[in-house]
Amino acid sequence: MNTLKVILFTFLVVGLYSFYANSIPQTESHPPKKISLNAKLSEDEMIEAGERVYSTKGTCGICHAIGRKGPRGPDLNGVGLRAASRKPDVSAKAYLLESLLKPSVYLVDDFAPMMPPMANILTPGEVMVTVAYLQSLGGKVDITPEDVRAVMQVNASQVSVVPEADSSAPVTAETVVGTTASEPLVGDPEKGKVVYDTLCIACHNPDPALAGPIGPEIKGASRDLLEARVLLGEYPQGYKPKRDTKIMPPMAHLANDIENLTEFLK
Amino acid sequence: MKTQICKKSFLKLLFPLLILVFTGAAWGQELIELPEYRAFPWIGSRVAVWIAAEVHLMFAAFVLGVPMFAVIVELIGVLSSQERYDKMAREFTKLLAIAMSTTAIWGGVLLFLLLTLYPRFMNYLSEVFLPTLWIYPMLFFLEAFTLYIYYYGWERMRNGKSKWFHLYLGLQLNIVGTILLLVANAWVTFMMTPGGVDMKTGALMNIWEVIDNFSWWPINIHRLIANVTFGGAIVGAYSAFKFLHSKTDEDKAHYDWMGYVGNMIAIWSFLVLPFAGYWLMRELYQYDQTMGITMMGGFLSWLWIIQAVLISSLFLASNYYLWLGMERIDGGERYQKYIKYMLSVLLLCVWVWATPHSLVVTPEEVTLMGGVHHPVIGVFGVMSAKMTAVNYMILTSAIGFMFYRRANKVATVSYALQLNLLQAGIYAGVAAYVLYLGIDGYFVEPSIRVNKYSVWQVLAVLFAILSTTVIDLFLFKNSESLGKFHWGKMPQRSQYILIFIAVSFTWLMGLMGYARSAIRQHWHVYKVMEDTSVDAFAPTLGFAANVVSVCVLVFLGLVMFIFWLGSLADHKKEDASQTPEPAQ
Repeated sequence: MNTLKVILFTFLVVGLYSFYANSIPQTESHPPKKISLNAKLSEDEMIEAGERVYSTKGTCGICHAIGRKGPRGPDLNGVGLRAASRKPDVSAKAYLLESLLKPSVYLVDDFAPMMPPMANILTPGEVMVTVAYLQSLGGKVDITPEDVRAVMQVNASQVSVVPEADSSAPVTAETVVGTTASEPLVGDPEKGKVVYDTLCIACHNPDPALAGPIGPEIKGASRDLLEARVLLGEYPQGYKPKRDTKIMPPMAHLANDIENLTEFLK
Repeated sequence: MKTQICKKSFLKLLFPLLILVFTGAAWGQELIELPEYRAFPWIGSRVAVWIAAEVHLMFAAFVLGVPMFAVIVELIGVLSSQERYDKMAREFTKLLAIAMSTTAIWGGVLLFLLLTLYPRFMNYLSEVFLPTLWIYPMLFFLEAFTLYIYYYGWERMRNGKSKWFHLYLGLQLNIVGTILLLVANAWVTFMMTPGGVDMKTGALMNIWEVIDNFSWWPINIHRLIANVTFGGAIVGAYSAFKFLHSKTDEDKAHYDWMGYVGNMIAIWSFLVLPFAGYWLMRELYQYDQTMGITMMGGFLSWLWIIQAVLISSLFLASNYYLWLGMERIDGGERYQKYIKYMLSVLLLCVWVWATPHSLVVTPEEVTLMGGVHHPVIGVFGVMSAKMTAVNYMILTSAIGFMFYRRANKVATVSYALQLNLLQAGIYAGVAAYVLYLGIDGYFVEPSIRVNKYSVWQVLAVLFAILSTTVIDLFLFKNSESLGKFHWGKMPQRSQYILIFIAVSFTWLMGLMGYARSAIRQHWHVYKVMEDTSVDAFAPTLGFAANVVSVCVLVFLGLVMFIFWLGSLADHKKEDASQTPEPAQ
């Protein structure tokens, strides 16, 4: 009799735990579908795929919201319409591409530059459908594979939207991406300090000569080290890291600030 | 002559056979193309492997955890010359001897399922881990033989120097068992946080870096402690089962005591587990932030609410068992009046801990509340509140155990009042400090809250537990006894509490196993080898819970069978001892 009681009791406890776990919110997590720029997608398919990227791989919903202000990012309701008027003479798709690939260039009032560049996270196809989805939130979907191909074939760090004569024309590398690579590389320590104070002190100490809560002291870091670590997430050959952690993500969008950071950290 | 003919015939036969074997095998390798996956009927490949792996892991945890305290209990028996410790250690080991073969059987089932259902993945793993696959079976042999000599040699090595050799065998059992654990952990952790391979091609670069990957040591430590906890809980359940079936007061007293010891081992090692878990999570965040976010803030975030419910239940149950235990101690009634306060604190902490961070609500409710967080209880859904609640639960349990320890004692030292006040001051001070950090945690940067405040809270609680235990040693030196422990005088419900604790630990272990696997998402080896099977998605928590429940029931069913087998041996011995002497 006691054995039967023990068996029934065990079933009861296990059953209660199962019941509780089944009574909380249930979601399945599916892997992101691979989206190629060459895939022939209808407008509806692009929007649907973009919505999926928004809520899964893109993890946009962690900061943004639709219909209300997000915890860290602006309300995206109607962004498809607003995008066309954010910057003078810049089309909605060009603005949205810039927002995804170089999010710190244009900041909505009251929001900090904390969004990572999506070129490091999403494939070109995923960028395209995400733009399509964002355009569908109040605007007209006119993004094409050529627009994305033109922008993402070059270094995302060089993305800079320039005014377009005809906002409905296809976005090309020449029109969307500013070619600033030919500018002389002269470091400005003040600009470097702004970058450091905006981004780096999340992990490094506000005084770069001291160790921070997560990152080590980096005063005197060489240009080679900064270029490798900041842009590629790697170390120069033969360099022995001060810490064994891999927490720092590559920040390719800081390519134009490497000289400034080097000057500031001297 | 006959021999020569035989030799020639043999060689004639052997030669083509060798050609057939070697070339045939070579052709076979060229001709047979490994499929990516095969399907398991009805329940699918994933669930089949899931159940086999989890049940194997549960048995493995038991056979690695129990020897740790079996040897310690045996050593206590030798040093204190108390036979009951030796008897208990032997009883622990009897369970091990039977469980070892069940562990091996489930290991075999798991291996065959993996080889047949996931051939490409297993092919890759065996390429990367080749040397460890040769070492592992050798270690397993050594472990099995050491265990059998340890158990079956118990009587023979009972006295004198041979007893010390027997203890050495117990030590060897633990060392080999731990190395086995480390090897198996290398395989599992590599899948989560791979290192030592080319991340694009998966090609092996450095075998040591493959083994010593980012999460290897955190998992090693976490599992080592968890095995002790698990072993203690199962021994507690075994004792409860035997207690409920005991017919004599002597047996009841023995199994009551054994259950108490098993439970104490489980609970005290369990108190250290959150710290090891914290370290593991921190390492995972450092390895890959996405992985950390997936676990704590992504689709797995609700899993931590289930975990909170489970651990809270364990805290409540273990405290209730202690309170019931005080009833069997003369003088224990002096502390009964504090139980209602301790229960209130525990319930409050359960409420805080089980508050979800984000509620699932309709847009109308969001508008009414002004956000996804509840205007009143929303503040309890964050880490600062939960860490404070957990530490308060640990503190309350420690105070409960302090009452239990002193239940039948009266301090006689002249400075008793001062030491009592000092202990009260330490507990009050630490409680205030933990609360202060918990409140201030709302107003500081996350990095400070995670990296500093949480650690300080934990250290403060550990300080309170250790310092008050040391003070007890001085306080109760030459103490006066109010009576004794009446082992066996426990209500039946106390034994169901022990069973509840074992079932809950087992279920918790299954849930955490799911969490560890699920954070890889659609990767066999994270960001190295993608899962392209039909099961390349994380199921709902409800589905996962149902599979965990099946694993728990299969495991506990087999454990009951093992208990029954063990009792068969006991009956045999009893029958033999009761056989009348033949007439002269």
